[in-house]
Amino acid sequence: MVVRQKSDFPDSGRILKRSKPLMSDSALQDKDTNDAVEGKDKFEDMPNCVVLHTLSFMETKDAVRTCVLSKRWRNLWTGIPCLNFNSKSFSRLVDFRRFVVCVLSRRDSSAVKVLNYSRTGVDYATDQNLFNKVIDYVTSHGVEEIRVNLRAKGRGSPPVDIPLSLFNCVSLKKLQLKDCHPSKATWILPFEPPKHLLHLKQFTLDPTAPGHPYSFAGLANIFGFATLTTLNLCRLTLSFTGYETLNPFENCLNLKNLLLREIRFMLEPVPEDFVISAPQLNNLTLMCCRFFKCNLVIAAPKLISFNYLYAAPGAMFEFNIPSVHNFTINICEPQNKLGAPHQKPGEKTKHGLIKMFREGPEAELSFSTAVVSCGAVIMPKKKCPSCCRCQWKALNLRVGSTYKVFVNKLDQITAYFRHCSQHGEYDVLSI
Amino acid sequence: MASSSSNLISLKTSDGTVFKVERALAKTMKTVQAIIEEADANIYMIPIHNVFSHHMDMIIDYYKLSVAGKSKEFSVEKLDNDELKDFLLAVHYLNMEDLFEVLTQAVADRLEKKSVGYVRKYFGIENDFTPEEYAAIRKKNDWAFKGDDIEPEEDEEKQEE
Repeated sequence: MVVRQKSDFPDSGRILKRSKPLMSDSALQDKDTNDAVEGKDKFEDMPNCVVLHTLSFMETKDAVRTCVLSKRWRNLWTGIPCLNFNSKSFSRLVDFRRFVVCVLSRRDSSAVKVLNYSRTGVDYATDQNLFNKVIDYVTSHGVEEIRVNLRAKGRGSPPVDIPLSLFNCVSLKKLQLKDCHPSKATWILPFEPPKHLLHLKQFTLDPTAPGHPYSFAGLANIFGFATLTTLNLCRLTLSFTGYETLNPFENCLNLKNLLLREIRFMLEPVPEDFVISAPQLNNLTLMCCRFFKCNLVIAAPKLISFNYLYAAPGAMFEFNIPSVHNFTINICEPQNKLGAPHQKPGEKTKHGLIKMFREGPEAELSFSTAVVSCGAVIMPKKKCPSCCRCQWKALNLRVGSTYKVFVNKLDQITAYFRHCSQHGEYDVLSI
Repeated sequence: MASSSSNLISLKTSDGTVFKVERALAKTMKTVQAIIEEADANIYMIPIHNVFSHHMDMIIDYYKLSVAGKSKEFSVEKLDNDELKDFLLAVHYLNMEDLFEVLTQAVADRLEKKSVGYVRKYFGIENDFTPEEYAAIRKKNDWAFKGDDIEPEEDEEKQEE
Protein backbone atom coordinates (compact mmCIF):
# COMPACT_ATOMS: atom_id res chain seq x y z
CA MET A 1 0.00 0.00 0.00
CA VAL A 2 1.29 3.38 -0.87
CA VAL A 3 2.01 5.60 2.06
CA ARG A 4 1.07 9.06 1.18
CA GLN A 5 3.14 12.14 1.72
CA LYS A 6 3.28 14.27 4.81
CA SER A 7 0.35 16.41 3.85
CA ASP A 8 -1.79 13.44 4.64
CA PHE A 9 -0.78 13.21 8.22
CA PRO A 10 -3.38 14.81 10.40
CA ASP A 11 -2.14 18.11 11.64
CA SER A 12 -2.17 18.16 15.37
CA GLY A 13 -4.00 21.44 15.49
CA ARG A 14 -7.21 19.73 14.60
CA ILE A 15 -6.85 17.06 17.21
CA LEU A 16 -6.79 19.01 20.41
CA LYS A 17 -9.50 21.22 21.66
CA ARG A 18 -7.42 23.20 24.04
CA SER A 19 -5.24 25.98 22.80
CA LYS A 20 -2.18 24.74 21.14
CA PRO A 21 -0.10 26.20 18.37
CA LEU A 22 -1.09 24.93 14.99
CA MET A 23 1.75 22.94 13.65
CA SER A 24 2.76 22.99 10.08
CA ASP A 25 3.58 19.73 8.47
CA SER A 26 7.26 20.23 8.69
CA ALA A 27 6.96 20.89 12.37
CA LEU A 28 5.68 17.39 12.81
CA GLN A 29 9.24 16.30 12.66
CA ASP A 30 10.12 18.61 15.49
CA LYS A 31 9.50 16.76 18.69
CA ASP A 32 10.59 19.36 21.19
CA THR A 33 7.92 22.00 21.18
CA ASN A 34 4.93 19.92 21.87
CA ASP A 35 3.60 20.46 25.34
CA ALA A 36 1.03 17.77 24.63
CA VAL A 37 3.73 15.25 25.26
CA GLU A 38 4.58 17.09 28.43
CA GLY A 39 1.35 16.18 30.10
CA LYS A 40 -1.13 18.90 29.38
CA ASP A 41 -2.92 16.51 27.13
CA LYS A 42 -4.89 14.30 29.43
CA PHE A 43 -4.85 11.21 27.38
CA GLU A 44 -1.20 11.11 26.67
CA ASP A 45 -0.90 11.32 30.39
CA MET A 46 -3.07 8.32 30.77
CA PRO A 47 -1.16 5.52 32.34
CA ASN A 48 -0.64 2.39 30.29
CA CYS A 49 -2.77 0.32 32.60
CA VAL A 50 -5.81 2.46 31.89
CA VAL A 51 -5.17 2.40 28.17
CA LEU A 52 -4.76 -1.35 28.19
CA HIS A 53 -7.91 -1.72 30.19
CA THR A 54 -9.83 0.30 27.66
CA LEU A 55 -8.35 -1.62 24.78
CA SER A 56 -9.40 -4.90 26.44
CA PHE A 57 -13.02 -4.15 25.69
CA MET A 58 -12.35 -3.67 22.03
CA GLU A 59 -12.06 -6.33 19.46
CA THR A 60 -8.44 -7.36 19.14
CA LYS A 61 -8.41 -6.35 15.51
CA ASP A 62 -9.10 -2.75 16.43
CA ALA A 63 -6.74 -2.88 19.36
CA VAL A 64 -3.78 -4.09 17.32
CA ARG A 65 -4.24 -1.25 14.88
CA THR A 66 -3.24 1.21 17.56
CA CYS A 67 0.32 0.22 16.75
CA VAL A 68 0.44 2.95 14.11
CA LEU A 69 -0.67 5.76 16.36
CA SER A 70 2.68 6.72 17.71
CA LYS A 71 5.91 5.28 19.04
CA ARG A 72 4.48 4.87 22.49
CA TRP A 73 1.67 2.85 21.04
CA ARG A 74 3.75 0.69 18.79
CA ASN A 75 3.84 -2.31 21.06
CA LEU A 76 1.29 -1.32 23.64
CA TRP A 77 -1.24 -3.76 22.22
CA THR A 78 0.95 -6.73 23.00
CA GLY A 79 0.10 -6.43 26.67
CA ILE A 80 -3.68 -6.33 26.41
CA PRO A 81 -5.00 -8.96 28.79
CA CYS A 82 -8.06 -9.84 26.71
CA LEU A 83 -8.26 -11.47 23.34
CA ASN A 84 -11.42 -10.88 21.35
CA PHE A 85 -11.32 -12.74 18.09
CA ASN A 86 -14.26 -12.52 15.77
CA SER A 87 -14.05 -13.92 12.31
CA LYS A 88 -16.98 -11.82 11.14
CA SER A 89 -14.72 -8.80 11.08
CA PHE A 90 -12.67 -10.37 8.36
CA SER A 91 -13.90 -10.81 4.86
CA ARG A 92 -11.90 -13.95 4.40
CA LEU A 93 -11.35 -16.71 6.91
CA VAL A 94 -7.78 -17.09 5.79
CA ASP A 95 -7.12 -13.50 6.87
CA PHE A 96 -8.73 -14.25 10.20
CA ARG A 97 -6.49 -17.22 10.64
CA ARG A 98 -3.39 -15.27 9.80
CA PHE A 99 -4.43 -12.52 12.15
CA VAL A 100 -4.92 -14.88 15.06
CA VAL A 101 -1.64 -16.64 14.49
CA CYS A 102 0.23 -13.35 14.26
CA VAL A 103 -1.31 -12.01 17.43
CA LEU A 104 -0.43 -15.13 19.35
CA SER A 105 3.14 -15.06 18.16
CA ARG A 106 3.75 -11.37 18.70
CA ARG A 107 2.06 -10.90 22.00
CA ASP A 108 4.22 -10.39 25.02
CA SER A 109 4.37 -12.89 27.81
CA SER A 110 1.77 -11.27 30.02
CA ALA A 111 -1.31 -13.15 31.14
CA VAL A 112 -4.50 -13.36 29.16
CA LYS A 113 -7.46 -12.97 31.40
CA VAL A 114 -10.32 -13.34 28.95
CA LEU A 115 -10.67 -15.06 25.63
CA ASN A 116 -13.62 -14.50 23.34
CA TYR A 117 -13.28 -16.63 20.28
CA SER A 118 -15.97 -16.54 17.69
CA ARG A 119 -15.45 -18.19 14.39
CA THR A 120 -18.31 -18.58 12.02
CA GLY A 121 -17.47 -21.07 9.36
CA VAL A 122 -18.66 -21.01 5.80
CA ASP A 123 -19.48 -24.64 5.59
CA TYR A 124 -19.64 -27.49 7.91
CA ALA A 125 -15.98 -27.02 8.50
CA THR A 126 -14.01 -25.96 11.45
CA ASP A 127 -10.45 -24.93 11.88
CA GLN A 128 -9.53 -27.38 14.58
CA ASN A 129 -5.87 -26.57 14.29
CA LEU A 130 -6.43 -22.88 14.91
CA PHE A 131 -8.80 -23.57 17.76
CA ASN A 132 -6.21 -25.80 19.39
CA LYS A 133 -3.54 -23.15 18.99
CA VAL A 134 -5.68 -20.50 20.62
CA ILE A 135 -6.77 -22.68 23.51
CA ASP A 136 -3.25 -23.92 24.08
CA TYR A 137 -1.97 -20.38 24.15
CA VAL A 138 -4.50 -18.94 26.56
CA THR A 139 -4.46 -21.88 28.93
CA SER A 140 -0.73 -21.49 29.24
CA HIS A 141 -1.17 -17.80 29.98
CA GLY A 142 -3.44 -18.01 32.97
CA VAL A 143 -6.79 -17.48 31.31
CA GLU A 144 -9.77 -17.07 33.61
CA GLU A 145 -12.69 -16.72 31.23
CA ILE A 146 -13.26 -18.40 27.91
CA ARG A 147 -16.19 -17.90 25.60
CA VAL A 148 -16.25 -19.85 22.40
CA ASN A 149 -18.71 -19.66 19.55
CA LEU A 150 -18.14 -21.86 16.55
CA ARG A 151 -21.31 -21.58 14.58
CA ALA A 152 -21.11 -22.85 11.04
CA LYS A 153 -23.15 -21.08 8.45
CA GLY A 154 -26.61 -22.50 8.17
CA ARG A 155 -25.97 -26.08 8.93
CA GLY A 156 -25.59 -26.04 12.68
CA SER A 157 -22.27 -26.44 14.34
CA PRO A 158 -19.41 -28.52 13.08
CA PRO A 159 -17.89 -31.26 15.18
CA VAL A 160 -15.03 -30.04 17.27
CA ASP A 161 -12.56 -31.55 19.65
CA ILE A 162 -11.89 -29.79 22.88
CA PRO A 163 -8.14 -29.61 23.35
CA LEU A 164 -6.76 -31.37 26.35
CA SER A 165 -5.11 -28.21 27.59
CA LEU A 166 -8.55 -26.84 28.41
CA PHE A 167 -9.26 -29.67 30.77
CA ASN A 168 -5.96 -29.19 32.49
CA CYS A 169 -6.24 -25.47 32.94
CA VAL A 170 -5.96 -24.52 36.57
CA SER A 171 -6.78 -20.85 36.24
CA LEU A 172 -10.05 -21.20 34.35
CA LYS A 173 -13.05 -19.87 36.20
CA LYS A 174 -15.69 -19.34 33.55
CA LEU A 175 -16.33 -21.37 30.46
CA GLN A 176 -18.94 -20.91 27.82
CA LEU A 177 -19.19 -23.16 24.82
CA LYS A 178 -21.72 -22.11 22.27
CA ASP A 179 -22.40 -24.03 19.12
CA CYS A 180 -19.54 -26.39 19.68
CA HIS A 181 -20.88 -29.66 18.59
CA PRO A 182 -18.52 -32.10 20.18
CA SER A 183 -17.03 -34.80 18.12
CA LYS A 184 -17.50 -38.17 19.60
CA ALA A 185 -13.93 -38.58 20.63
CA THR A 186 -13.66 -36.13 23.49
CA TRP A 187 -17.05 -36.09 25.05
CA ILE A 188 -18.52 -39.50 25.35
CA LEU A 189 -15.54 -41.55 26.26
CA PRO A 190 -15.26 -42.07 29.96
CA PHE A 191 -12.61 -39.81 31.29
CA GLU A 192 -10.40 -40.08 34.23
CA PRO A 193 -11.59 -37.02 36.13
CA PRO A 194 -8.96 -34.35 35.79
CA LYS A 195 -7.81 -33.40 39.24
CA HIS A 196 -6.74 -30.01 38.07
CA LEU A 197 -9.83 -28.31 36.78
CA LEU A 198 -10.90 -27.38 40.25
CA HIS A 199 -11.74 -23.75 39.90
CA LEU A 200 -14.47 -23.61 37.31
CA LYS A 201 -17.18 -21.35 38.64
CA GLN A 202 -19.40 -20.86 35.67
CA PHE A 203 -20.09 -23.19 32.81
CA THR A 204 -22.43 -22.71 29.93
CA LEU A 205 -22.91 -25.26 27.25
CA ASP A 206 -25.10 -24.45 24.29
CA PRO A 207 -24.52 -26.69 21.32
CA THR A 208 -26.77 -26.79 18.32
CA ALA A 209 -26.74 -30.45 17.62
CA PRO A 210 -29.68 -31.51 19.70
CA GLY A 211 -29.64 -35.02 18.45
CA HIS A 212 -26.27 -35.72 19.89
CA PRO A 213 -26.46 -37.32 23.28
CA TYR A 214 -24.23 -36.44 26.15
CA SER A 215 -23.48 -38.48 29.12
CA PHE A 216 -23.90 -36.04 31.93
CA ALA A 217 -21.58 -38.05 34.04
CA GLY A 218 -19.01 -37.67 31.32
CA LEU A 219 -19.47 -33.91 31.27
CA ALA A 220 -19.25 -33.68 35.03
CA ASN A 221 -16.08 -35.69 34.99
CA ILE A 222 -14.53 -33.66 32.28
CA PHE A 223 -15.27 -30.29 33.75
CA GLY A 224 -15.04 -31.10 37.40
CA PHE A 225 -18.34 -29.65 38.43
CA ALA A 226 -17.53 -29.57 42.12
CA THR A 227 -16.57 -25.90 42.14
CA LEU A 228 -19.27 -24.60 39.85
CA THR A 229 -21.52 -21.86 41.11
CA THR A 230 -23.39 -21.29 37.88
CA LEU A 231 -24.27 -23.91 35.34
CA ASN A 232 -26.23 -23.36 32.16
CA LEU A 233 -26.98 -26.30 29.93
CA CYS A 234 -28.91 -25.52 26.82
CA ARG A 235 -30.26 -27.73 24.10
CA LEU A 236 -28.67 -30.92 25.22
CA THR A 237 -29.80 -34.42 24.85
CA LEU A 238 -28.79 -36.37 27.87
CA SER A 239 -28.09 -39.99 27.62
CA PHE A 240 -28.87 -42.21 30.49
CA THR A 241 -27.13 -45.36 31.54
CA GLY A 242 -30.17 -47.14 32.87
CA TYR A 243 -30.15 -46.74 36.61
CA GLU A 244 -33.40 -45.92 38.26
CA THR A 245 -32.63 -42.54 39.59
CA LEU A 246 -30.68 -39.89 37.83
CA ASN A 247 -29.20 -37.29 40.11
CA PRO A 248 -26.56 -35.54 38.10
CA PHE A 249 -26.00 -32.45 40.19
CA GLU A 250 -25.58 -33.94 43.62
CA ASN A 251 -21.83 -33.46 43.52
CA CYS A 252 -22.08 -29.84 42.62
CA LEU A 253 -21.55 -28.73 46.15
CA ASN A 254 -21.24 -25.06 45.33
CA LEU A 255 -23.86 -24.78 42.67
CA LYS A 256 -26.06 -21.77 43.24
CA ASN A 257 -27.65 -21.13 39.88
CA LEU A 258 -28.83 -23.77 37.50
CA LEU A 259 -30.43 -23.24 34.15
CA LEU A 260 -31.65 -26.13 32.07
CA ARG A 261 -33.03 -25.15 28.76
CA GLU A 262 -34.45 -27.48 26.16
CA ILE A 263 -32.99 -30.53 27.78
CA ARG A 264 -34.35 -33.89 26.98
CA PHE A 265 -33.48 -37.49 27.22
CA MET A 266 -32.78 -39.91 24.51
CA LEU A 267 -35.96 -41.81 23.94
CA GLU A 268 -34.90 -45.00 25.62
CA PRO A 269 -34.02 -45.60 28.34
CA VAL A 270 -35.62 -42.87 30.34
CA PRO A 271 -35.00 -42.63 34.03
CA GLU A 272 -37.93 -42.96 36.35
CA ASP A 273 -36.91 -40.00 38.43
CA PHE A 274 -34.80 -37.11 37.40
CA VAL A 275 -33.53 -35.60 40.57
CA ILE A 276 -32.21 -32.10 40.76
CA SER A 277 -30.56 -31.74 44.05
CA ALA A 278 -27.72 -29.54 45.07
CA PRO A 279 -27.08 -28.39 48.59
CA GLN A 280 -26.46 -24.72 47.83
CA LEU A 281 -28.84 -24.25 44.95
CA ASN A 282 -30.59 -20.90 45.10
CA ASN A 283 -32.05 -20.41 41.66
CA LEU A 284 -33.40 -23.03 39.35
CA THR A 285 -34.78 -22.32 35.93
CA LEU A 286 -36.21 -24.92 33.61
CA MET A 287 -37.13 -23.80 30.16
CA CYS A 288 -38.87 -25.95 27.61
CA CYS A 289 -37.44 -29.18 28.87
CA ARG A 290 -39.07 -32.35 27.79
CA PHE A 291 -39.05 -35.03 30.35
CA PHE A 292 -41.39 -37.61 28.95
CA LYS A 293 -42.50 -40.23 31.39
CA CYS A 294 -40.07 -38.95 33.93
CA ASN A 295 -40.69 -37.58 37.39
CA LEU A 296 -38.85 -34.45 38.16
CA VAL A 297 -37.80 -34.30 41.76
CA ILE A 298 -36.30 -31.13 43.05
CA ALA A 299 -34.61 -31.40 46.38
CA ALA A 300 -32.75 -28.21 47.02
CA PRO A 301 -32.94 -26.99 50.60
CA LYS A 302 -31.73 -23.48 49.85
CA LEU A 303 -33.83 -22.81 46.81
CA ILE A 304 -35.02 -19.25 46.57
CA SER A 305 -36.59 -19.15 43.16
CA PHE A 306 -37.89 -21.67 40.73
CA ASN A 307 -38.80 -20.66 37.23
CA TYR A 308 -40.48 -23.06 34.93
CA LEU A 309 -41.19 -22.26 31.35
CA TYR A 310 -43.54 -24.87 30.27
CA ALA A 311 -43.47 -26.71 27.02
CA ALA A 312 -45.20 -30.01 27.24
CA PRO A 313 -48.22 -31.15 29.16
CA GLY A 314 -48.11 -33.74 31.80
CA ALA A 315 -45.04 -32.65 33.68
CA MET A 316 -44.99 -33.94 37.18
CA PHE A 317 -42.73 -32.54 39.74
CA GLU A 318 -42.26 -32.48 43.43
CA PHE A 319 -39.80 -30.63 45.52
CA ASN A 320 -38.62 -29.76 48.97
CA ILE A 321 -39.41 -26.25 49.96
CA PRO A 322 -36.42 -24.55 51.37
CA SER A 323 -36.35 -23.10 54.79
CA VAL A 324 -36.01 -19.55 53.63
CA HIS A 325 -38.50 -16.80 53.20
CA ASN A 326 -39.91 -15.56 49.97
CA PHE A 327 -39.54 -18.65 47.92
CA THR A 328 -41.07 -17.92 44.58
CA ILE A 329 -42.42 -20.27 42.00
CA ASN A 330 -43.12 -19.04 38.51
CA ILE A 331 -44.84 -21.29 36.06
CA CYS A 332 -45.63 -20.03 32.67
CA GLU A 333 -46.18 -21.01 29.11
CA PRO A 334 -43.98 -19.77 26.34
CA GLN A 335 -45.22 -16.56 24.91
CA ASN A 336 -45.57 -15.77 21.27
CA LYS A 337 -42.02 -14.62 20.90
CA LEU A 338 -40.87 -18.15 21.43
CA GLY A 339 -43.06 -19.48 18.71
CA ALA A 340 -46.59 -20.76 18.64
CA PRO A 341 -47.93 -22.01 21.92
CA HIS A 342 -47.88 -25.71 22.25
CA GLN A 343 -51.55 -26.12 22.88
CA LYS A 344 -54.45 -24.81 20.97
CA PRO A 345 -56.09 -21.97 22.82
CA GLY A 346 -58.81 -23.16 25.13
CA GLU A 347 -57.49 -26.67 25.29
CA LYS A 348 -57.35 -28.06 28.72
CA THR A 349 -53.90 -28.57 29.93
CA LYS A 350 -52.75 -30.45 32.85
CA HIS A 351 -49.78 -28.59 34.02
CA GLY A 352 -48.73 -31.04 36.50
CA LEU A 353 -48.61 -31.95 40.03
CA ILE A 354 -46.38 -30.08 42.35
CA LYS A 355 -45.76 -31.92 45.50
CA MET A 356 -43.89 -30.13 48.18
CA PHE A 357 -42.35 -31.40 51.32
CA ARG A 358 -41.68 -28.78 53.83
CA GLU A 359 -39.07 -28.95 56.51
CA GLY A 360 -38.04 -26.26 58.86
CA PRO A 361 -39.71 -23.34 60.56
CA GLU A 362 -42.72 -21.58 59.27
CA ALA A 363 -42.23 -19.42 56.29
CA GLU A 364 -44.33 -17.61 53.83
CA LEU A 365 -44.56 -18.93 50.38
CA SER A 366 -45.73 -16.65 47.66
CA PHE A 367 -46.90 -17.90 44.36
CA SER A 368 -46.80 -15.82 41.30
CA THR A 369 -50.07 -16.84 39.86
CA ALA A 370 -50.68 -16.92 36.20
CA VAL A 371 -53.35 -15.14 34.21
CA VAL A 372 -54.24 -16.12 30.73
CA SER A 373 -54.74 -13.73 27.94
CA CYS A 374 -55.21 -14.95 24.40
CA GLY A 375 -53.57 -18.24 25.06
CA ALA A 376 -50.37 -16.87 26.41
CA VAL A 377 -49.48 -16.34 29.99
CA ILE A 378 -48.82 -13.10 31.71
CA MET A 379 -47.47 -13.04 35.19
CA PRO A 380 -49.01 -10.37 37.35
CA LYS A 381 -46.96 -8.73 39.98
CA LYS A 382 -48.71 -9.25 43.22
CA LYS A 383 -52.41 -9.67 43.22
CA CYS A 384 -54.64 -12.02 41.36
CA PRO A 385 -57.05 -10.31 39.01
CA SER A 386 -60.72 -10.94 39.44
CA CYS A 387 -61.02 -13.38 36.57
CA CYS A 388 -58.84 -15.77 38.39
CA ARG A 389 -60.45 -17.88 41.02
CA CYS A 390 -57.37 -18.04 43.05
CA GLN A 391 -57.37 -15.24 45.53
CA TRP A 392 -54.59 -16.13 47.82
CA LYS A 393 -51.33 -14.37 47.82
CA ALA A 394 -49.41 -16.12 50.44
CA LEU A 395 -49.60 -19.43 52.09
CA ASN A 396 -48.24 -20.31 55.45
CA LEU A 397 -46.77 -23.70 55.60
CA ARG A 398 -46.22 -25.69 58.67
CA VAL A 399 -43.48 -27.95 59.68
CA GLY A 400 -43.85 -31.51 58.60
CA SER A 401 -46.60 -30.82 56.15
CA THR A 402 -46.80 -32.01 52.65
CA TYR A 403 -48.67 -29.97 50.15
CA LYS A 404 -49.66 -30.93 46.73
CA VAL A 405 -50.50 -28.17 44.37
CA PHE A 406 -52.35 -29.04 41.28
CA VAL A 407 -52.48 -26.42 38.63
CA ASN A 408 -55.10 -27.06 36.05
CA LYS A 409 -56.61 -25.19 33.13
CA LEU A 410 -54.58 -22.24 32.15
CA ASP A 411 -57.57 -20.10 31.47
CA GLN A 412 -58.65 -20.50 35.04
CA ILE A 413 -55.89 -21.02 37.41
CA THR A 414 -57.21 -23.09 40.20
CA ALA A 415 -54.96 -24.49 42.78
CA TYR A 416 -55.92 -27.35 44.92
CA PHE A 417 -53.94 -27.99 47.97
CA ARG A 418 -53.74 -31.28 49.57
CA HIS A 419 -52.40 -31.27 53.01
CA CYS A 420 -50.85 -34.60 53.67
CA SER A 421 -48.71 -36.05 56.32
CA GLN A 422 -46.07 -38.54 55.69
CA HIS A 423 -48.54 -41.28 56.28
CA GLY A 424 -50.68 -40.47 53.37
CA GLU A 425 -53.68 -38.95 55.15
CA TYR A 426 -54.75 -35.76 53.65
CA ASP A 427 -57.30 -33.05 53.69
CA VAL A 428 -58.38 -31.42 50.57
CA LEU A 429 -58.43 -27.68 50.64
CA SER A 430 -59.72 -25.99 47.61
CA ILE A 431 -59.25 -22.33 47.33
CA MET B 1 -7.36 4.59 64.03
CA ALA B 2 -9.87 7.02 62.76
CA SER B 3 -12.51 6.93 65.36
CA SER B 4 -14.94 9.36 63.93
CA SER B 5 -18.36 8.28 65.01
CA SER B 6 -19.92 10.15 62.16
CA ASN B 7 -20.89 8.12 59.14
CA LEU B 8 -19.97 10.90 56.82
CA ILE B 9 -16.60 11.56 55.31
CA SER B 10 -15.70 14.96 53.97
CA LEU B 11 -14.05 15.07 50.59
CA LYS B 12 -12.71 18.26 49.11
CA THR B 13 -12.47 18.42 45.34
CA SER B 14 -9.89 20.26 43.28
CA ASP B 15 -12.24 23.17 42.78
CA GLY B 16 -12.68 23.62 46.50
CA THR B 17 -16.10 22.10 47.00
CA VAL B 18 -16.61 19.92 50.04
CA PHE B 19 -18.77 16.85 49.71
CA LYS B 20 -19.98 14.92 52.71
CA VAL B 21 -20.36 11.35 51.64
CA GLU B 22 -21.42 8.20 53.36
CA ARG B 23 -18.70 6.00 54.65
CA ALA B 24 -19.92 3.22 52.39
CA LEU B 25 -19.38 5.37 49.34
CA ALA B 26 -15.93 6.39 50.51
CA LYS B 27 -15.15 2.72 50.86
CA THR B 28 -15.63 2.23 47.14
CA MET B 29 -12.80 4.69 46.59
CA LYS B 30 -9.75 2.70 47.45
CA THR B 31 -7.49 5.71 47.41
CA VAL B 32 -9.63 7.50 49.96
CA GLN B 33 -10.01 4.37 52.00
CA ALA B 34 -6.26 4.02 52.21
CA ILE B 35 -5.93 7.56 53.46
CA ILE B 36 -8.56 6.97 56.11
CA GLU B 37 -6.94 3.80 57.30
CA GLU B 38 -3.50 5.30 57.53
CA ALA B 39 -4.58 8.26 59.57
CA ASP B 40 -4.47 7.68 63.27
CA ALA B 41 -6.63 10.55 64.28
CA ASN B 42 -9.88 11.95 63.16
CA ILE B 43 -9.68 13.21 59.67
CA TYR B 44 -11.60 16.34 59.04
CA MET B 45 -11.30 16.58 55.37
CA ILE B 46 -9.70 14.51 52.68
CA PRO B 47 -8.54 16.39 49.63
CA ILE B 48 -9.02 14.58 46.38
CA HIS B 49 -6.85 16.01 43.68
CA ASN B 50 -7.74 15.62 40.04
CA VAL B 51 -11.38 15.27 40.96
CA PHE B 52 -13.80 18.08 40.32
CA SER B 53 -17.20 18.70 41.77
CA HIS B 54 -18.98 17.68 38.58
CA HIS B 55 -17.15 14.36 38.81
CA MET B 56 -18.31 13.90 42.38
CA ASP B 57 -21.87 14.59 41.31
CA MET B 58 -21.69 11.76 38.81
CA ILE B 59 -19.96 9.48 41.26
CA ILE B 60 -22.73 10.03 43.76
CA ASP B 61 -25.35 9.38 41.05
CA TYR B 62 -23.69 6.11 40.19
CA TYR B 63 -23.45 5.11 43.81
CA LYS B 64 -27.12 5.76 44.41
CA LEU B 65 -28.10 3.76 41.35
CA SER B 66 -25.89 0.83 42.23
CA VAL B 67 -27.18 0.69 45.79
CA ALA B 68 -30.69 0.48 44.34
CA GLY B 69 -29.56 -2.31 42.02
CA LYS B 70 -29.94 -0.11 38.97
CA SER B 71 -26.33 0.41 38.01
CA LYS B 72 -27.17 -0.42 34.42
CA GLU B 73 -29.18 2.76 34.20
CA PHE B 74 -26.10 4.86 34.68
CA SER B 75 -25.18 6.55 31.46
CA VAL B 76 -22.35 8.78 30.36
CA GLU B 77 -23.79 9.44 26.93
CA LYS B 78 -24.24 13.13 27.62
CA LEU B 79 -20.53 13.59 28.24
CA ASP B 80 -18.44 14.57 25.29
CA ASN B 81 -15.21 12.72 24.62
CA ASP B 82 -13.00 15.03 26.64
CA GLU B 83 -15.36 15.07 29.58
CA LEU B 84 -15.45 11.31 29.52
CA LYS B 85 -11.67 11.12 29.49
CA ASP B 86 -11.42 13.48 32.44
CA PHE B 87 -13.99 11.54 34.38
CA LEU B 88 -12.20 8.29 33.65
CA LEU B 89 -8.95 9.68 34.97
CA ALA B 90 -10.65 10.99 38.09
CA VAL B 91 -12.20 7.61 38.79
CA HIS B 92 -8.89 5.95 38.10
CA TYR B 93 -7.19 8.21 40.59
CA LEU B 94 -9.79 7.37 43.20
CA ASN B 95 -9.37 3.69 42.38
CA MET B 96 -13.04 2.81 42.13
CA GLU B 97 -13.24 -0.58 40.51
CA ASP B 98 -16.81 -0.89 39.33
CA LEU B 99 -17.19 2.61 37.99
CA PHE B 100 -13.82 2.29 36.32
CA GLU B 101 -15.03 -0.76 34.42
CA VAL B 102 -18.13 1.11 33.33
CA LEU B 103 -16.18 4.08 32.07
CA THR B 104 -13.47 2.14 30.25
CA GLN B 105 -16.21 0.17 28.54
CA ALA B 106 -17.87 3.43 27.55
CA VAL B 107 -14.62 4.73 26.07
CA ALA B 108 -14.05 1.46 24.25
CA ASP B 109 -17.57 1.61 22.84
CA ARG B 110 -16.91 5.06 21.46
CA LEU B 111 -13.75 3.86 19.79
CA GLU B 112 -15.06 0.62 18.44
CA LYS B 113 -14.62 0.07 14.75
CA LYS B 114 -13.34 3.55 14.27
CA SER B 115 -10.44 4.34 12.02
CA VAL B 116 -6.92 4.96 13.17
CA GLY B 117 -7.39 8.63 12.43
CA TYR B 118 -10.39 8.84 14.72
CA VAL B 119 -8.60 7.08 17.54
CA ARG B 120 -5.63 9.34 17.17
CA LYS B 121 -7.87 12.35 17.35
CA TYR B 122 -9.78 10.96 20.30
CA PHE B 123 -6.73 10.22 22.38
CA GLY B 124 -5.02 13.37 21.22
CA ILE B 125 -2.01 11.43 20.08
CA GLU B 126 0.76 13.03 18.22
CA ASN B 127 2.05 11.01 15.39
CA ASP B 128 5.76 10.92 16.00
CA PHE B 129 6.62 8.54 13.24
CA THR B 130 8.54 9.71 10.26
CA PRO B 131 6.83 8.77 7.01
CA GLU B 132 9.33 5.99 6.57
CA GLU B 133 8.81 4.66 10.07
CA TYR B 134 5.07 4.81 9.58
CA ALA B 135 5.33 2.88 6.35
CA ALA B 136 7.54 0.31 8.01
CA ILE B 137 5.28 -0.34 10.96
CA ARG B 138 2.25 -0.43 8.72
CA LYS B 139 3.86 -2.98 6.49
CA LYS B 140 5.14 -5.06 9.37
CA ASN B 141 1.66 -5.34 10.81
CA ASP B 142 -0.10 -5.65 7.52
CA TRP B 143 -1.88 -8.73 8.76
CA ALA B 144 -3.88 -6.56 11.13
CA PHE B 145 -5.14 -4.34 8.38
CA LYS B 146 -6.29 -6.98 5.98
CA GLY B 147 -9.78 -7.77 5.02
CA ASP B 148 -11.28 -4.34 5.22
CA ASP B 149 -12.89 -2.23 2.61
CA ILE B 150 -11.35 0.97 3.82
CA GLU B 151 -7.70 1.42 4.47
CA PRO B 152 -7.34 3.24 7.77
CA GLU B 153 -5.33 6.12 6.46
CA GLU B 154 -8.08 7.07 4.09
CA ASP B 155 -10.35 7.94 6.96
CA GLU B 156 -8.03 10.58 8.24
CA GLU B 157 -8.83 12.77 5.32
CA LYS B 158 -12.50 12.70 6.10
CA GLN B 159 -12.20 14.56 9.39
CA GLU B 160 -14.38 12.28 11.34
CA GLU B 161 -15.80 13.65 14.55
